[in-house]
Amino acid sequence: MFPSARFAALPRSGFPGVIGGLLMASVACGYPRPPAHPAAEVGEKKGAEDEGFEAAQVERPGMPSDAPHGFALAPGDTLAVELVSTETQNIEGLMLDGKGMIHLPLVGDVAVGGASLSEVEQVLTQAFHRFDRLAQVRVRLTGRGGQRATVLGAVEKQGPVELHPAARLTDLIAAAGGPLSTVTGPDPVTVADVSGAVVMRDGKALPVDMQRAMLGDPKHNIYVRPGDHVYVPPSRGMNITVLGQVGNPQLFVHREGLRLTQVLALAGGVTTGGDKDDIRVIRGTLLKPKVYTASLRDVVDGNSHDVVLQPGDIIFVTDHFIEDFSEVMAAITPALSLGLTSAALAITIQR
Amino acid sequence: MATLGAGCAALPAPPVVAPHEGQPSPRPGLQQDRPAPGVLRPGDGLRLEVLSVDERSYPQLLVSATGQLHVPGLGDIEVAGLTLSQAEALIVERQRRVDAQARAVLYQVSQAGARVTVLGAVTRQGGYPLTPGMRMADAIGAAGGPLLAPPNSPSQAALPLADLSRAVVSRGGKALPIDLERALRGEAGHNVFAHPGDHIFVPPRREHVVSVLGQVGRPSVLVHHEGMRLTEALALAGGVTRDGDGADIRLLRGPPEAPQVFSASLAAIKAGKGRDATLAPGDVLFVTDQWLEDLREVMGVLMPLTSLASAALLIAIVSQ
Repeated sequence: MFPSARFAALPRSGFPGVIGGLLMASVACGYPRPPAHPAAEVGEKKGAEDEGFEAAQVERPGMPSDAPHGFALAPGDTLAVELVSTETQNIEGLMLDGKGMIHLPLVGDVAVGGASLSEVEQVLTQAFHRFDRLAQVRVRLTGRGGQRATVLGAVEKQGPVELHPAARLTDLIAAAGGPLSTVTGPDPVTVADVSGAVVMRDGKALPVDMQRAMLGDPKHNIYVRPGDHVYVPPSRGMNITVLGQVGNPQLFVHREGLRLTQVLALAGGVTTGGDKDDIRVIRGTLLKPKVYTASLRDVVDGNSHDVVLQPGDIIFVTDHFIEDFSEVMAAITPALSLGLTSAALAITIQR
Repeated sequence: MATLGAGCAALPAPPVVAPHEGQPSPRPGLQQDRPAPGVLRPGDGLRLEVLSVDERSYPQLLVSATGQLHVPGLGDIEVAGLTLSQAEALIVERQRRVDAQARAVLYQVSQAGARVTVLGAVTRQGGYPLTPGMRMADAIGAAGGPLLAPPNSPSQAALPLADLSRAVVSRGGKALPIDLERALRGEAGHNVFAHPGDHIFVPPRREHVVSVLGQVGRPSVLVHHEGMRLTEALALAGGVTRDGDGADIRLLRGPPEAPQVFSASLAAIKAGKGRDATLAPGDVLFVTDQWLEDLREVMGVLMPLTSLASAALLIAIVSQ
């Protein structure tokens, strides 16, 4: 161990830091420091390019008066009809066709789609009265094939879900296994755009917000009806790209509160050839990207803040100038030494 | 060595926090806690046997979303909120309008109407039937328990990724003032009876990691656990490399906008002069370069230059 007093005059970053600093002044000065938090940027974000995107984010008020609805037959349901008269006749397996009709002996096609079971009993009793005045009709439901809603998109199990009475939106999502998620390092991250989920009923989107439904808000966690269609879009442009002089360049799924230091650690840290003083953060739209430069050294010295990342950010760890220099050296050294050796040889031969 | 740097002389040593020093939960828990009454609900399945002029049996009748039971031949009967025997009495009364001697027996075959929905950071999200006497901890258990992270090292237990203390239990559109973290420890007032329609959302933990980077063997992000220490995190990240300065390990704590920076020294801890630091969730550890490392880098670049220069010099001397 050296006595520390001897080196007290040496600046912390040492010789390369001094030159690096000078060099940096010419190289990286054009880029501002990134703001600590994306929210700080909101003021300047009002570019013409972003306006259309902002407008797409519509607040969904929810459905305040959402009463459960009674049972209604839907195409795909199966009925069993008991015809009670002088003798009892059982007709099983009557499935509603696409138009909500069932086919019975004597009376032919009867429209029952949308009706309750009691209503079907009344309709059938009247229909059979033409043939048998004493006939009584009893109807029961044997198959619930029509009582289905569909969940598609970024959920664990896409497909139709059989609805039990009084099922709510979250029951539907739960039956589909929940929003699709992945794990970034030790973080569970959902790759579904839950708040962008769309609930379609009779061809119209309902004004409900799945994110709030998941938290149990009854205005949004509505009763699901047969035939409802839920689409959960995957989250797009939510990646963070880490490139350059890092141990393991890769993509990460963004999540709230992800910090620059954390992403660098996940990517295996800055390599020896990387410049800790010039880490570029490229942010913004494809056409108008903004480039910032952050210094890891400043952050750990307490001279600067850490950076909270935004979806779509690209982190690029630049080469340290020494790295560039040594690369050049490595490239030209063989040539130089070859030249020198041949020169030495030539001189020796001349003599 | 720690006094070397311009910035680090001013940096304080990281504080040591005793574990279990958490803030008291702002959720007081429920004072009155009764199990849900055993009544029929929309979605329940019933079996009905009717003894009248003929004997009929309906193995699977469902209570509709509006609370009605359709009894074939008798029409819709309101049964939601009634007990099984009250519903049975209603059916018998209806049947006796036709046949004074009629009897009916009602059985409950499914309690599908009484469900608890568990979503979020649990092993199996889904809706689960509410069994009689079910409490919050049982509901979380039915969903397979909180989601676990792969452990930092094989010798460690898996760490929870679910933030149970921020979990929302909503009943009838209102959040219950209970803390599921305490519910899982069985505390009264928190581990309350589950009611039909209860809705549990468990958010994932967020600031639950410790990032270790700089001159360590494996820069990594570790799952924080209570009482995690600086030395432990360094060891899990592969230790300080040869080029790292063990005497100047920076610890960043607090919000990213204005983190506090501390400096710890492994050498001081080894010598018994310094204390090991307790890490907080969200901490960032950075092992700085040793000054020798910087020097080595420069030397490494200069070496070929100097050898070339000396060779050129040699030629110049020889050629003269």
